[in-house]
Amino acid sequence: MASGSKDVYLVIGGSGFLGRHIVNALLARGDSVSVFDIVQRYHDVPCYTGDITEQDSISEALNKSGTTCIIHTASPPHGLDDDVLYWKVNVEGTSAVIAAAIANKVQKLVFTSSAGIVFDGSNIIGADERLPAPRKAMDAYNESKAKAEEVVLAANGKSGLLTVALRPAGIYGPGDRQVMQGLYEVYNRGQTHFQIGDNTNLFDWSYVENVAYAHLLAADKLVHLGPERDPLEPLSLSAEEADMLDRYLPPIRLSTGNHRIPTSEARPPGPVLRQSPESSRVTQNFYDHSFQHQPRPIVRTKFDALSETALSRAKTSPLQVAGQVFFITNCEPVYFWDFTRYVWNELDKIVDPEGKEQRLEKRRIVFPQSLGYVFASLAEFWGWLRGKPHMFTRFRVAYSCGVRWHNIEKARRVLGYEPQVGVEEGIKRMISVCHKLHLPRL
Amino acid sequence: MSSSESLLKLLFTRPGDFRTLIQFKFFHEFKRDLSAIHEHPTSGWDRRSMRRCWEFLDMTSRSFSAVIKELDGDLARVICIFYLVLRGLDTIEDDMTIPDPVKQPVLRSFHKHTVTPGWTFDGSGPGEKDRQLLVEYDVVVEELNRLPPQYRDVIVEICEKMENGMADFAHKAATTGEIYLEKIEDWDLYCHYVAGLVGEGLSRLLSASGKEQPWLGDQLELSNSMGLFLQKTNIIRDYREDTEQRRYFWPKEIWTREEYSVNGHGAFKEMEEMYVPENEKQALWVLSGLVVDVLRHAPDCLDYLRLLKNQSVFNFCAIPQVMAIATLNLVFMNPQTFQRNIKIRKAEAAGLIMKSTNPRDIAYLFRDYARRIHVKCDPKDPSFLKVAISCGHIEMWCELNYPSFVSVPSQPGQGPVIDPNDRRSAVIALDEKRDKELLEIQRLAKATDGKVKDIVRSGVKTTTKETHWDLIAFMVFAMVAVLGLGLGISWLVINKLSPDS
Repeated sequence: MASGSKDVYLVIGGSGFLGRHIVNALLARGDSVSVFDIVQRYHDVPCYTGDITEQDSISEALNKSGTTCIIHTASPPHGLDDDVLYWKVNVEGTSAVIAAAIANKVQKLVFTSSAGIVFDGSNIIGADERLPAPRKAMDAYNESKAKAEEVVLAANGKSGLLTVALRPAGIYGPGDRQVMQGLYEVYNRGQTHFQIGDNTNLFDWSYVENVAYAHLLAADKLVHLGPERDPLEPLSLSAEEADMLDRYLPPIRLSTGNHRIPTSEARPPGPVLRQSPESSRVTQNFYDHSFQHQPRPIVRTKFDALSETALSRAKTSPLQVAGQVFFITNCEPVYFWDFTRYVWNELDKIVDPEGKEQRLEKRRIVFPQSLGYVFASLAEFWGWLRGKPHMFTRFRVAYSCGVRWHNIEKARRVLGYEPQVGVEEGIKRMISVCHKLHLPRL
Repeated sequence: MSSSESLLKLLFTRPGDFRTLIQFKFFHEFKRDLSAIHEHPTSGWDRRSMRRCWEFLDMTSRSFSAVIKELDGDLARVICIFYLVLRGLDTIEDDMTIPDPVKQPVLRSFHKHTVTPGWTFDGSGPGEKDRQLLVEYDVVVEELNRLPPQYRDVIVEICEKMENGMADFAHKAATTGEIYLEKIEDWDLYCHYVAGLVGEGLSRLLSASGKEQPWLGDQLELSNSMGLFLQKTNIIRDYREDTEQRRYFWPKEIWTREEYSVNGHGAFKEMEEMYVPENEKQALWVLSGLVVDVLRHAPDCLDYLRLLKNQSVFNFCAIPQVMAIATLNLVFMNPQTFQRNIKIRKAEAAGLIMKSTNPRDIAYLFRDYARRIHVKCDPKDPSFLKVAISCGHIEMWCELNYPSFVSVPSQPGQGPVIDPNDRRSAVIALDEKRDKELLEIQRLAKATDGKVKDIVRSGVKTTTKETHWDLIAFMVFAMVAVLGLGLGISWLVINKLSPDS
């Protein structure tokens, strides 16, 4: 932001699930925000309705609202059978947004990409941003998202526009229409006791408000264009960058309890009889969050994305925001079926508090992934025969048996992103809203 | 039953265990003989007082004795003395037959007693199993006073911190009638005094010995996590024994949680309620809540083990940690925890000791146990998702520190082997390509001394192929220019300067 003046935001797709949460987060901190969307669902902020592929309508919205920062979250939902639509909205639409932004001298563009663009059906284990997208995308949705991300990053630095792309993984939360819908259907059919695979596959989830928060951080930190790295010079880090890399990042403890480890230099008083000056100093240290006796050593392997070797290979420094991508997750991946079981159990508490249906008491039926593929093929064939797509597909089998979690160290260090709501609390919030919306009774 | 008989029985009941124990006995038995003459300078076996200390170590420690004796050089003796000092202090703290007014001054001046030649203590109750150590404590004093000051001072300082913490907690229980630890913060603090400080002391002794990094002794949080992980696990395992002796260490904040209540029973009010068979389920939920709290120290323990350099130190630190996670797996979702004292099987322990050789293997052992814990978890358990998240932290630690797609070379001298089927190998491939590119850029920069350097610096073209095109274009241009100039001059010469004109 130039000389501390506040940005004026336009959230494209601001009537959607994530978009709406971003609008809320901006409103909560008193920012000026408008929405551009194909439909208007809320009336608390100025809304410009229009087609994202029409550069003129976007331009008009930018011009009227005086936008300085665009947050572009619009995309058709995943799972549609319409390749043309995906390409039109995600690729052509995003290009139109960029053209309009440049024409209106907008300074910042934060783009919502997707972690799915690196997924090719095989395991994603602690992937960082260096992992290239597969040659053949998983599906039309991810292919169009990958292309759109490319377009956004290529526009960085063009005519004063700065861009950044965020790749959230498995967004869920109040207002979600994808994750919850699927889980609710399985619950409704009483199929919660089926499990495909051995459930040792960790899976990333991102609570929507955390993702919204990451967008705000990215917008705030998108301030200047970093220089290209000179490959002939040895790697040298600024003090700020060195500091960024040396900070100890603890595991996320939102769900499992955050308690400072007592030490002889920082501990609570306990049942002490007499406080000496020495013991009150130590007590003070314990409650002083900035206190650190000695910095913790950071050990990196040479495979690490932020190791010195990796940093000296990079064409542009990954320690900046402009022109970069960031994975965004809750950093609390859980085994795939655990997330679903937790949701079903929470649903049970509301829908069937007496436990009459005994859904979760049913004997668990586990079949291996290979058998899952066979069943899914049959189901797909049956669906094809009936002319109605079946819910149980090979894609879903691959999806539920694969490992999919990402390394968000870059977002934590560079954006300063820390999840604000834990995975468990996030599910509770999602369910409580679903409940209020009166999901159909059985 | 003699040990050979029980081993024979095992051959028929659990052949796998039999095999492990035989392997352990013949190929992995601890080797250091402290009584050998060449060991005397470091083991002190030639002194009566030190021989007695080694005997006391065997008598008082169930699990530590073997790993302590294997430590390199004089570290074994130093840590043996450290252990006995703390064991002596602990014996007084634990003794419920000593009234508080007597206990307080003995505890609070233990750091002075422990260096006073000839000091002994015979006030322990007759049932106290380590009573004899205090009766003959003068041998410990003698050996402690023999240690070089860099060791002795650490031991005395840790002893003083621990004794005051213990005395504070003992006094509170004796005078206020509040027998329980209230908050998680209180149980963390209690465990810090009785075990975290041991970790701090050990780290400082290891640094002082020069066998580990000099800064290890300053890593207080990591050192405490090591202690807390072990201590909390033992506290959970010893539920029945401790409860029967009216010693309560489980934090009330966890076991009185309303959310653990089953069938409208309501939160527990006393620790004893948990072994009533009707309360089994609710007790198991409490247990899960505690396991979640213990597991939060696991990543720190792995971090600590990763910093160690000396193999004997590594074994000494790692083996108890692995035993702890195996014990957590044993007690988790196990109703027997509330009925009797349970222990991991001998063969399981032996197998773990044999596998505990490097931080990578330890991490993956932790991961295996995390998965075994996770698979037992019940979706109805209020800690269900928290257990999964805790296990996830261990899994993440493994992959981020020792990525599974890189395997350790099978023969020394070979490089690591990359699994080409893992997606992460794509990053390695890109890196290799980029490294070649960088080499080429550097080579060109050197060869052309500046020309290409500017092109590279301008950041437009960094691939060598394009750089060549630039050069070629430049050369073609130059050639055309020279040729053109030559032709022009020739034309001039021919046309203007010919004698006809």
